[in-house]
Amino acid sequence: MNQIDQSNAEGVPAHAAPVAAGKQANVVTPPEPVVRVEALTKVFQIWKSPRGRLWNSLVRSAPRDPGFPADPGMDGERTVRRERHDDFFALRDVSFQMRRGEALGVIGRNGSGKSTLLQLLAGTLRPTSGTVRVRGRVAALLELGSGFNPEFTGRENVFLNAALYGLSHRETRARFESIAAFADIGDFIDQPVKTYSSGMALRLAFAVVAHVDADVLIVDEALAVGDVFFVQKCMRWLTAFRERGTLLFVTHQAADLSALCERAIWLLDGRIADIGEAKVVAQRYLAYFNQQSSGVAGAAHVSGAAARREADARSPTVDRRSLVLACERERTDFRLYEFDPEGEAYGTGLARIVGVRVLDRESRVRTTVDGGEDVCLTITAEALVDLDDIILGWVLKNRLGQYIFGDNTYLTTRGKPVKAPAGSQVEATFRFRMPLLPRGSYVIAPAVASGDLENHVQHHWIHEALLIESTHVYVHRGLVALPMDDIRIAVSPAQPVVSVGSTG
Amino acid sequence: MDLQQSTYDESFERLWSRHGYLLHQFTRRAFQQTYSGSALGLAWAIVTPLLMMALYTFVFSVVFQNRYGVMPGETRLDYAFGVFLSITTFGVFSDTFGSAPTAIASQPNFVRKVVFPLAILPLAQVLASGIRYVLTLVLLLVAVAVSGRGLPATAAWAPLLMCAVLMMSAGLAWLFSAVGVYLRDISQMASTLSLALFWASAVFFSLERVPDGFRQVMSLNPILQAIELLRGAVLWGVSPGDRPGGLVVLAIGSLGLFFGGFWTFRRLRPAFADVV
Repeated sequence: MNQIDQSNAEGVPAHAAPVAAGKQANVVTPPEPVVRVEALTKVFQIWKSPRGRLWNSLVRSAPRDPGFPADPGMDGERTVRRERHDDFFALRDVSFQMRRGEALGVIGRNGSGKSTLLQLLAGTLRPTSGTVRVRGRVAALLELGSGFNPEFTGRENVFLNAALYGLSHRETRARFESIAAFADIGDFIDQPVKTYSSGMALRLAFAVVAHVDADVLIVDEALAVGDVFFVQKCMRWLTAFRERGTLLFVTHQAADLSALCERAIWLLDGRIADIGEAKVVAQRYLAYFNQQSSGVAGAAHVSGAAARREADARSPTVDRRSLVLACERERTDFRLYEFDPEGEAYGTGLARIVGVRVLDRESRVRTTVDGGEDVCLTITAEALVDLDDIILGWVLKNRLGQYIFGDNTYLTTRGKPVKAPAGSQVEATFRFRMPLLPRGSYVIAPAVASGDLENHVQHHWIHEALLIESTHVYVHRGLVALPMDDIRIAVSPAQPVVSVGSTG
Repeated sequence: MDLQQSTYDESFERLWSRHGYLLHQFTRRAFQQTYSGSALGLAWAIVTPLLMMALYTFVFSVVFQNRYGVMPGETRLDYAFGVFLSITTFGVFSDTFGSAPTAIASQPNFVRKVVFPLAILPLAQVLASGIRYVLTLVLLLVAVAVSGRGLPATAAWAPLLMCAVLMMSAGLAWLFSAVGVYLRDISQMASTLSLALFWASAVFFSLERVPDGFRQVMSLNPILQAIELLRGAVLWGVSPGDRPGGLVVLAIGSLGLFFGGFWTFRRLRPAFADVV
């Protein structure tokens, strides 16, 4: 199981492939896999006593043999005495491939085998049977500050970790400034890692991983502890990384999955329950667990929906009751933080954003906003040179950097471009109804540009200018929930109608 | 570039060639850790052995008046030097017995989270106590040289003999650190074993003083032979070449422990992550 596969799996020598493709133009040779996992199985032996485990390692078959025989008959002669252990199948017969530049998501509940799979890929665990083959350098971000020694300083850990990834001392020294800048933990870099907060440990760990020229990157749910600014930075880095490298991303949140990956694997009790397009896998995953938790079988669910549609088509609803949105408590859905002009940014620098504010209907600056309230977002920019057709815009992003909504002034000013002479200030106001957002951190990224939608130059784009904390307690499905003007529910008495769904 | 099985590869060659930097770092760290935070810092590496030497000299030349009885005209000071050399040499082993059982078990991060050449961890601790050992012995050689009698020519054997001591320690460290992952009791066993070995290694007396029968059994102990040969070579002008039996036991013991320990370590290594 451990031999290195020297030949190409497809049976075509790698260098010969382009020639073959050239002769037969209609045959497209797929790029070679970077990661190939075949029939991977991991069994943890739960031993009654560690002594049995020790004895087993020392005396029984050579250590390279799988600890668990694929075929029980094979091992018959040696297991004369009954081994005192139970077998726990953490992973059963998992196979998949990844190609360069691909992002594969792994989703599953706790205990479904995600971590085991990652550890096998990273090489910290040995497979019981099956193979894991990887081309190039694998870097893994498994849990917090994974490979750090708490007694060592951040600086020492950077060198240690980089050495584990095969970087020489000289190479690490050349990159150290960049690593420290990425981590951005200031003087803590020379403190022992045991004094770090979990967020700081993550920052440093990610900074190292980002600088080791990994070909394959494995990211666990570690990012969950990062603050919104750092997670956004990581997401930008990951997006850039995917142009050259291969990413394996693990999560138990379906929304994260479709944000980062095209393909996904759903692990259920150590087996692949589904593999395919990320969006589809995420939907099936959610559907499966929703059904489980509500105790409704899938078939009944579908027929219920069908019955409702039928009922809708047949008769107008009879009994109408209005539901008023409950407003009995003091509600504060959003907490707004101050504009941070020093946030990370890019652009030509010919114009600068100098202010981002959220005002209410009476033009008062607000620090809190309710979902559904009318608000004004104003962006103020200063032109440093004469600019002809200036556009101001913004986008609201969630913790993972997904764009939720946003807008710009282009359509409004089309045909009558706004000119901004050097030194002038331009203010754009966007009035809209604040939607409801699931609890969490959000940021507004404002930008000033010139040109038109297809062809423009960004002068100043601030990645995270205004932090917004959503404290909304209702858990909505989806990334954003619109304030509902009216929600009704109706039951029509007669006939074979089974059930009536309600709006979620 | 072919697809590679992604896993650790711990062979001797890689330990030196690829992980030399890590070994260096961990050794330095283990060495400094003993002194970190103290006012005198690294100076303790010199001060401690000097104080110990003064103490031993006092205790064993004034309080206990004993002799090894090998060298003609052995003085009290000679005996004190002998005890100091013996205890220092045995100290390398007792350090190992103390630290090795937890060397791997106390680093779950390095076992589970990263692909780490774990054999470095126990080895670095042995090398760190090796540095202290070498420093102390250099001080002792200086003390012997200025004490009046002068260094015998046979002291040139010292580096080779010390090398054997470190090889045995490394082998034991690999053995105990690997077994310690599975059996936490090994710490307790190791401290008892250490004490037993202390008395079986003829620290305060010479092998020649041991009664027949017992002597033959004890002479099979390579640690005893290392101490015995070192004392003879450094203090009494007895060349190890004149003790072929002892040299053979030491050679077999050090090579056997070194490679046997590493072999056991490699054999137990694959299941570490399942157990820690």
